Amino acid sequence: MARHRGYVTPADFVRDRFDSSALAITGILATMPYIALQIYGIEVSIAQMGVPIEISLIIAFAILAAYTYTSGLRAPAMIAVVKDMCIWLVVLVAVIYIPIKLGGFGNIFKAVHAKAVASGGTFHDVLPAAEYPAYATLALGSALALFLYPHTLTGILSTNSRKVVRRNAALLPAYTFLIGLICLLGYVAIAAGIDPSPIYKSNVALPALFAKEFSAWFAGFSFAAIAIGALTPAAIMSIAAASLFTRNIYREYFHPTCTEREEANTARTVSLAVKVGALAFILFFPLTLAINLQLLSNIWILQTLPAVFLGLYTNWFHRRALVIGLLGGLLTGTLMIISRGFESSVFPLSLGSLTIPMYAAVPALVVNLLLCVCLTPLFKLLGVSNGRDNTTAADFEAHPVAGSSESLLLSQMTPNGRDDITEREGVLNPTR
Amino acid sequence: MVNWEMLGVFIVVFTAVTILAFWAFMLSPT
Repeated sequence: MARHRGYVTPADFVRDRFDSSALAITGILATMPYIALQIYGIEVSIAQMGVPIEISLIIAFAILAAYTYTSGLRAPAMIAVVKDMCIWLVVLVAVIYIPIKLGGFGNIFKAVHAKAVASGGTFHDVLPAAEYPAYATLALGSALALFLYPHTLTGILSTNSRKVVRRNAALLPAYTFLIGLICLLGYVAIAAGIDPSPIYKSNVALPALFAKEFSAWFAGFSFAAIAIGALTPAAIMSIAAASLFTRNIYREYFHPTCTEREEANTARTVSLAVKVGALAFILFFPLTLAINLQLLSNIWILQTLPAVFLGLYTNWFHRRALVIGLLGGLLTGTLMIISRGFESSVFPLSLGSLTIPMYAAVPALVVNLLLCVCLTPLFKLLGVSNGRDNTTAADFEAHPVAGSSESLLLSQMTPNGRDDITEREGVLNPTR
Repeated sequence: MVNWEMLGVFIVVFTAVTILAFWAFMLSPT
C-alpha cells in the first residue's frame, strides 16, 4: 500500500485515511528523547575512556550532527550491517569471556542474590510479585510503541515488497535475543564489583564492566561498537523526524509548491533542530536511569496507535475524536511522568483501595481510546465535518506496483476476495 | 585520565566504519 500510494511516513497514511495531519507533531516530539538516549550512550562511552564529560557530550553531538547532515539516510543504512556485526561480536565475547573470568554464571547469580539479600528490599534479583503489573505493562507498552516510531515505520514503508518486510520481521527475534544477553551483562557487572558512577549513576555499568574486564584495545573496540550502534538509529530517527516535518507540515501548510531541493534543505535544518531538542533533554532531564528517556518517547508515540494501527482496520473513528484522544493521551501520560518527577515511568494507579503500579503509556492509551470511542458517535451525531477517506479497500488487499490504478488493483484480486472487500467496505465505510 | 590505548582503538575503528559507510554511499548507484 505504501509503495502504491507513495507513503514514507505514518502521517502520510493518516492524512489520506482520516484527512488529518495532526500526527506529525507527535512523531517529531516523541523522537527527541529517544535520540537523546543515543547521544547520551555515545557520551558515556567516550567519557569512560577518560575524556572530560563536557567534551564527551560535545563530541557525541558533533559526530551525530555531521554524520546526518552530510550523508542522509543511505549511509546509516550502509553502516547498519557492519554495526550489527561489531555489536554481536562484543556482546558474544562479553557473555562468554567475562563469566569465565568470574568463575561462571553460577557465581554471578550467587553474587547478585547476595546483593539482593544485603540491600534489604531496595534491589531484587527476581521480580517481586508487586512489580508484575509494572513489568507486564512496560512490556506491552514498549512492544506496541516500537512499530509506531517514524524511524521504524519509514524503514518498513520504504521497503520494496511484502517479502522484505516478512523476512526482516522473522529476523527481529535475533535482536531481541541479543538484548536479553545485554541485560544479563547487568548481573555480570554486579558480580564484577562495578559500582554506579557519581556522575552517570548505573547507566555506566556496561562501559565500566568492559573497561575493567577487557584488555584496553578490545575495550576501545567495544566503545566504538557502542558509539556506532547508537549513531545509526539516532541518524535514522532524526532524518525520519525531519521528513515527517517537511512532508506533512512544511509542504502541506507553509510551502505547497516547494521544490525537492528546498524540501531537502528544510529537512537538513529540521534534522539539526531535532538533535538540538534531544540535547536539551540530556541537559535538563534527570538521567538517573537513562532508559526513562526511551520510555517517555514510548508514552508519546503510543498515543498515535488509534490513528495508525486501528486506522489500518477501520475508518470508523472521527478525525476530530482522534485528535482529542491523542491530546488526552499525551496529556495524561505526561502528567503521570511529571508527578513522578521524571524519575520513573511507572505510575501507581489507584483504583479504590487498590494501587497498581503501571507503565504510564498504558493508562494514557486507555484514556486516548475512550475519548476516541466516546467522541466519534457524538461528532457524527452533531454532523461535524469528517473529511474524506482517500484510501480504497483495494489498497489494503492487492499486490500493487507503483503507479498502478485502482481498477488494475481490483482486477488482481480473486472474485472471492473482491466480494469480501466490497462487503467489508460497505460496513466500514458506509459514507462511500 | 585519558586511556590513550582505548581511545586510539576507538578512533581507528570508528573512523574505519564511517569511511566504509561513505565509500559505500559514494558507490551506490542512486
